[in-house]
Amino acid sequence: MVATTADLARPRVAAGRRVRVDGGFIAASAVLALVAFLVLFPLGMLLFGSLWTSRPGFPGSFTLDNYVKAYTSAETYQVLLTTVLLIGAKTMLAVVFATTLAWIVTRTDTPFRNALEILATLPFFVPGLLETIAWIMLLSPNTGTINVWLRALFGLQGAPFNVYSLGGMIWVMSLGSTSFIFLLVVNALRNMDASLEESARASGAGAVRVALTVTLPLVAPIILSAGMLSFIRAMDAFETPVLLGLPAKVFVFSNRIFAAVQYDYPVNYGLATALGVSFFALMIALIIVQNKILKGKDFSIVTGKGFRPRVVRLGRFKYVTLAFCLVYFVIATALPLSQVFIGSFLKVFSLPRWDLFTFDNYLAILTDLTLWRGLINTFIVCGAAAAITVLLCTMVAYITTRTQYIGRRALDLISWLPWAIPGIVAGLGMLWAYITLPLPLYGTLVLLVIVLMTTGLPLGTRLMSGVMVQLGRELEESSRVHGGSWPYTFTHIIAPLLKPALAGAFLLLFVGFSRAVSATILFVGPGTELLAVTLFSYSQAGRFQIVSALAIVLMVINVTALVVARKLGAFGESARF
Amino acid sequence: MFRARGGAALPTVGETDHTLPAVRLDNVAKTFASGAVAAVDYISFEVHDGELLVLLGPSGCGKTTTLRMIAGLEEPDDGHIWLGSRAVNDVRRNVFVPTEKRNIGMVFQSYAIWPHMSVFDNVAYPLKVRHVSRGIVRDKVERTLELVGLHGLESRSATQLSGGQQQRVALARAIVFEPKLLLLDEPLSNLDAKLRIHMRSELKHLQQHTGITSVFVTHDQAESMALADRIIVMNRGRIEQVGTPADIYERPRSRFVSEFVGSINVLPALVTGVSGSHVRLRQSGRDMVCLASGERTFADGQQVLISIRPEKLTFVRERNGGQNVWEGQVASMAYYGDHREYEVQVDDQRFKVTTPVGVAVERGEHVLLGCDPAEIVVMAEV
Repeated sequence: MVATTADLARPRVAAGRRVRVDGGFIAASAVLALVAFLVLFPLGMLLFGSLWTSRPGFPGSFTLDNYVKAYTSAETYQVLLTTVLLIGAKTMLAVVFATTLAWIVTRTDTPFRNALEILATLPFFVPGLLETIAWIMLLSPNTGTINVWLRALFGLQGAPFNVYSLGGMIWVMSLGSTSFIFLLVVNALRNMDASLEESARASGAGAVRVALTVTLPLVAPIILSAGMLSFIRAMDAFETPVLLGLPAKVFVFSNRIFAAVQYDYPVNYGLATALGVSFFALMIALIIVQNKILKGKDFSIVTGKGFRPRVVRLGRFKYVTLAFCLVYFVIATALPLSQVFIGSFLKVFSLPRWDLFTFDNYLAILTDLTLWRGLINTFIVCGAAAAITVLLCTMVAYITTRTQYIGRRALDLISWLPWAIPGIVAGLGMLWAYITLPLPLYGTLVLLVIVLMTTGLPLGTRLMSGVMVQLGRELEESSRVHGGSWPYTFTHIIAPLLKPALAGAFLLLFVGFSRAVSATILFVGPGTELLAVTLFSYSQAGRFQIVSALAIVLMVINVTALVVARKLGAFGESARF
Repeated sequence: MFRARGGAALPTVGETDHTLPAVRLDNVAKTFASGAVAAVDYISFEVHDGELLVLLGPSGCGKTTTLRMIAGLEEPDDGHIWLGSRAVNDVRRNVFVPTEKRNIGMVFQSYAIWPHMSVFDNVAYPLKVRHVSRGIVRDKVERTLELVGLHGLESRSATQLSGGQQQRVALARAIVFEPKLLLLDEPLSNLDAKLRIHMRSELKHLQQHTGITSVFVTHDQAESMALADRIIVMNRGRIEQVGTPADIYERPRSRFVSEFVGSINVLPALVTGVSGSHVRLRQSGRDMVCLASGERTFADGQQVLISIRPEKLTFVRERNGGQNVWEGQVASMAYYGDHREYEVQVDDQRFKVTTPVGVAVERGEHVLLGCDPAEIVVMAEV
């Protein structure tokens, strides 16, 4: 470089430094390139597909027809309205349930509240698919157990309940969301600094006044953010809308896109991609609104020193709250789980009867080759995807939290982006993208690994950056100062210190991947079956008995894995989601 | 773009030349992306071979950033840094020697002891990365641990140590490989008050014993006085004053330095006459005389600030026709065991006065305050 006169004059601050191409820069750029490829290529192809006249990989020309068709059709607006209605209603219901339950178990002298708390969190560990088929078995109009009983009891003609309806979807989805919101709110209430309430009591305010003027305002942001989070995540819901909505022709975004690709004849890729892009845009808008409203408030704002806060004495009313919790437990957990359990021992979908008792469903699992291939593939694909995702996300988290790499903000944003892409839309984009590549990827397990990795990037990155932030920066710097190169520091200091967190993140991702349906369903075929997708297809085909049997086996495995992950400390930062 | 590992050597000066400063910063600047204000605003200074230099200033003054730039943990936006004859930063030529190639020992504020390693492994780390043979590693680690008073704790897990012990491990790790330069980033701030004073004197002793060139960052002025050969006072990313502890305390150059280091009375005044080294001043209706230190010249009619340390003011019995005697009334008194602190109202001005315990005056009493002309420091800044 030749120094000009201008250079020699005292420059403005921050003028001088340039990007230096060294090993770190190259490594970080490679990570950025990989993440950008995984995320932006499918997203770009989705956009391209929505502007293309024909199917993926086929000749065609650019057009706006898909959007014109989509937005001039009344059906699209109906879909939007139904989506908002479904998610809004189920979130409200869940927030009311969750907040009430959380308040009861943390702030009142209701008997057995510790046990009640565990009971209230149980549905969190029940996969959405299982919850759905349980309620189908309970509330399907003709053969649903509750309907049959009610008919017999009151001599009714029709079915009192029909699970194949908007109401049915709201009901089933709200139960799963309740335990999710409950988990967030209960922690906030528990960790809330007791002295905040106690000083209000000391100033002369009564219990009710304290609850309304101190407790509620303090936890309101948490309730709000938990509700918004639940709202946004529910946009992505797939299994319940497909299983309950499609038979009743109640369309929301996710099941309409799926139907357009899977059931419309001819396959309506144009509508699917146009809706997909709109759906993605809606998600981004919602997330922006969420950030605007919450403005950096998070779940930690009221956490204090962790003293057990004082509880409100309810007097006789405490039996009412106890009853409320028990009824909730029976309806939300005991009823569906026992239905699934009983269903797994029945020859046909029916009321429990001894003459229908059988072990055949469990035996069928043993002889069903599709299931076994699915199980083996699930272990291979999810294991590989989780391992690679953890490694990649550790790199991403390191670059975004620890370095001054010029593209770190872009990297952070791109790795977060799949968070805003609903599973079915991501699947559609990846289908378009990888089918056009001149590589024999389609129909292989490798492609499934790539698909899962892409969807796992946001969770993996958030988990690892949470851990990275907790890991003192000086621990690493002191290795560098005293002569350790970056690779040496990584293998001797960072990796050993992160080992439990890495294992925990692996397990969490593995469990998440093994449940994934919406992103992978367009990629499975003979030989590349995945267990979750097979279970979903069996459910669609009404084979609830075998699904019940296998789901029970799987749930036991899942809960074990989650408990191990919790022990390993992987939940440290998960409250950020 | 290229990357120079060693950087360019200064022309005409050899590596072993002892007149060369151990560290030299030239017009170094740094702004963080988050803040519009410069963290370090074009500063230059040198660290002499074998000295203990303290960077002193309030939080956010840029002292830690400066230290981290010397260590290579932050990159300056502009300027040069030399370690001996080696240019480790030359921003305009895109020269940056990575941290691990600078051969520096550093003690961090959090100690940064690796929890997954034993005391021995922590201290041996710098030697292991330098591929020192096993026997020598054992030898050196043991000797260093002995030096810092941790002999026999080699196999202890680092997490089982007290704060003071962790501090010593961090120090041992930073000096075990005999680096040319030792950097210390507020190393005592996490210790309790008594241990802090104890470690302070041990540190000073160790530094004198080993003769290692050291840069010490702190916001504690008492600590800086006790430790430093020289002090650099920083404020808002700039250097306010460089000097020995006595210089800084007795001859502060600015209001900031005088007020940051110890308690002081700072008053605006007007120069009314200069004769030789005597400067005549008018302060709020009172005449004063002071002795200028010689470095600075003052002109008639110039507005200045003067500063007087509270312990330089005394209660005098009578005017004796002497200069710098003012009448006032005691507004408050506080007893500290080894001294007393008074506030004395002189017309519209309140003076802080520190006296030995033996000097007992009641609140409300009228007193005469006196001050030696040599103890009044005139600062140009207003």
